[in-house]
Amino acid sequence: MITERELDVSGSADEKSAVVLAGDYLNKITGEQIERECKRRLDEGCTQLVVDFSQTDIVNSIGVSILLGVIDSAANSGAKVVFSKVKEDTIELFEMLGLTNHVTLV
Amino acid sequence: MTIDRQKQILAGLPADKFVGRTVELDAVFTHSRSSSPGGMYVLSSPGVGATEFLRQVYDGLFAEHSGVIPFYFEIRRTDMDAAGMAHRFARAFLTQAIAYRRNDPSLLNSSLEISELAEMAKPSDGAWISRIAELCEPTGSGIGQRSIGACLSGPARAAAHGARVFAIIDSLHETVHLPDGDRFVSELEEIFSRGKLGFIFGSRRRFDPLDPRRKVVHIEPLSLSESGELAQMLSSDLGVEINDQTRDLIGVQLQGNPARIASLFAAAAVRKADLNSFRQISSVYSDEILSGRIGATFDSIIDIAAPDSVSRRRLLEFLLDSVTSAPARTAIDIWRQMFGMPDEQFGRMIEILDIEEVIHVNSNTVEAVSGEVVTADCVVSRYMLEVESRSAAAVKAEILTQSLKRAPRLMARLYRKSSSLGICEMLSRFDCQQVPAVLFDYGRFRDAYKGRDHKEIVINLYEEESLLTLPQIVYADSAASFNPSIAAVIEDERTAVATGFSESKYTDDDQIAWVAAEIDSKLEAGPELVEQWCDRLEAVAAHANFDRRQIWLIAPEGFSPQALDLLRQRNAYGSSRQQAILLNRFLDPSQKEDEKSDIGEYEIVVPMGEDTELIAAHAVEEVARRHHFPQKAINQIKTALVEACINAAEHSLSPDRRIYQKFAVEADKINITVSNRGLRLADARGLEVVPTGGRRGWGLSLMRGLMDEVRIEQVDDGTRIRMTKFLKPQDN
Repeated sequence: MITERELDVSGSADEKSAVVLAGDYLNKITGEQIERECKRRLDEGCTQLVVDFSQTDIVNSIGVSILLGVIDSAANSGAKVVFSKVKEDTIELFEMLGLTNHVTLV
Repeated sequence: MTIDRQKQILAGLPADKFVGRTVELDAVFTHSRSSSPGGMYVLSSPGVGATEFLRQVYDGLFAEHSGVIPFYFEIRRTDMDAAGMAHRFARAFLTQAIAYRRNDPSLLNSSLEISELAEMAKPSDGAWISRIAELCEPTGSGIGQRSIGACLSGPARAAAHGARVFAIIDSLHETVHLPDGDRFVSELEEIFSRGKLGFIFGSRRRFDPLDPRRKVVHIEPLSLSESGELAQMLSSDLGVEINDQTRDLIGVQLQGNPARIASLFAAAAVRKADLNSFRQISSVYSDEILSGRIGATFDSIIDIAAPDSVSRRRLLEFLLDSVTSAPARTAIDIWRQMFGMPDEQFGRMIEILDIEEVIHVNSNTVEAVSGEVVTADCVVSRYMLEVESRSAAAVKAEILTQSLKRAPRLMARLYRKSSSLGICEMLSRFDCQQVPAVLFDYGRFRDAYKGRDHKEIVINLYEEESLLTLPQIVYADSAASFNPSIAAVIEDERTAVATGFSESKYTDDDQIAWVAAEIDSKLEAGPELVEQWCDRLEAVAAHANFDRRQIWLIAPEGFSPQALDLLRQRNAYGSSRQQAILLNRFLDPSQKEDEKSDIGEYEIVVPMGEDTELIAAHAVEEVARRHHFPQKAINQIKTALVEACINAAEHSLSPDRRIYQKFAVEADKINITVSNRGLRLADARGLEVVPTGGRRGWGLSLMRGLMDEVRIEQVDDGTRIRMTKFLKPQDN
């Protein structure tokens, strides 16, 4: 289940951040849930999307594909995307598929 | 070495359908190629395919065309006398020699006269061929005594003229049916021993070989795996369905006898029946016993051994007693008295039954061949039909139900045999080695090593200072062999007696017998069980008059403290299964590598959809962790497997909606196979519409990036992806 809370991750007074928790398995279904939530936040004027991967064990290629869509949407809205607490193996996966070029890892 | 894929000439089967016998074929071909081969015996029990084996050898030698003339001759029961057989022998040799020289196997089926055959000989062979042809023409009074020797000496005559010949004389035991069979065999042996040619005499193993100094190759019944291979082939060729369980039951019940296995399948094919349940097997089997080829083979032996109705009836009574009573041994004099036959007739009957292994004659006793299920069923059915005059339907019902009741017992015995430690073989390897004494003391082993890592145990064992010197074992066998009365309560494979000498001094005082048993106990074996087994094994030792003995019990989980006390009181050794396996490492160093090469194979089938790939991922994680793959590699394997499963679910349009996975772990890698039915991956990818941005279709790239090897294998239907991850040393 995805939960979200509003947090100022970057510390900038101008930034409005949203944190979205990715579940333990990022697949098509959970990816689309994240995508929907992120789009809602972007529509509300969010300027920083933080996707929390602290509980994510496995990510599949469809999930990655959806994340790229979220990154594109954020870019189109002028928002930043941050991936937080990503496990090392997942980072390796993101690097393989080029995601890490477009996001900030914290 | 295998036979070249030669043309089928005399063999009944194409070479690639001839199962097993690789080692035996190698031995025979090596013998045939020796510069001075001499003679060899090929001995076998009935029905194991020795004749087919020898015919395969002939075909192989013919195809090799190395200049050695192969000659195959089978002695037949239909030969009336030695003279007739000699004439057939000579004709066969002429035909085969000319066919070989002309490289024309079709000549073997020709009906040319000897003179016509002789005309076809090459000029270089003319001298000896024409002489043989001349000798083989019958005179007005028939073939005389002198001509028998001349006819048999054809191969030797050819060899004397520089031709190289390798003769295969098959079914030597059939000479027992000839009035002058002994003379024929003697002449044959004498002629062939004198000549410079290589030869094989093929015979039943109970037919006395003439020269014990000759090399011997034994054709044994097929192993379980070979029986399975034969069953699989027959199943495919005849369209008779089997499964893994019935395949193994067929091999066990028919005891690796290819003739019987083939008969069973042929009968099933005629009935249009499958052999995919124990019930089906029992049904076809009972028909085969009663009125099929298996039963007919038994009947023909009994008919020849006891041609008249009175002796046949008496024979069935005696055979029934032999197969149903324990111990199944009777003094031969009792048989002689009860039959009341002339000595010569009685001797012939006993000899035939012994050669065909219906009974076993040993010194002055006659006993049933132990464990011979098929023979026992034939005996029982004939007794019921002919002595008790029961109806065929009643007899079939009896055989069928007995077979069905016996099937699970046979399989249970097989499973137990497969899982046994092989105590007899282990004891045989005792050869004055010094091994850690703790391996024979469960109490000490438990205190020192229980719960510790396996590698740590092995290292510490090599550092043990307290050692036990094992005796030199000179003979080992199952305990029942030493004391048949105990056979009912012990299993052959799990008990053993081994005799030898403690210090290789070969004196009475130095002689010792080890009496060992693998016993069953779910938890640590208790004192009652230990006492029972110690008593049994002591009885075996006493029966065999072993003054000095060492009792050794092996229980899967070791022994309770009370049981250990009892073992100490009785000066017996007690080991757990783990200790016995560790002992094997010291006895057979080559086995140290076996553990490393152990393959773990796991299979899982998941339905497509609903994130079921996670089930597979968690399963492979557990498998990889169990085999000590580092966590990083495990995560990569999981992700790659998930991708493979998604690939199957998304693209295959699978009709059964299942993903089949196999994880095969070796010492240095894990091989993962993911397969599914439906569209083939290449076909599906051709049809796939890639969304804009081209961000889908990364699955294969991910798999290739995460795994060390990825192969998409060609299959007729669906997809099979094989991935490999090598085990690398873990970072400390």
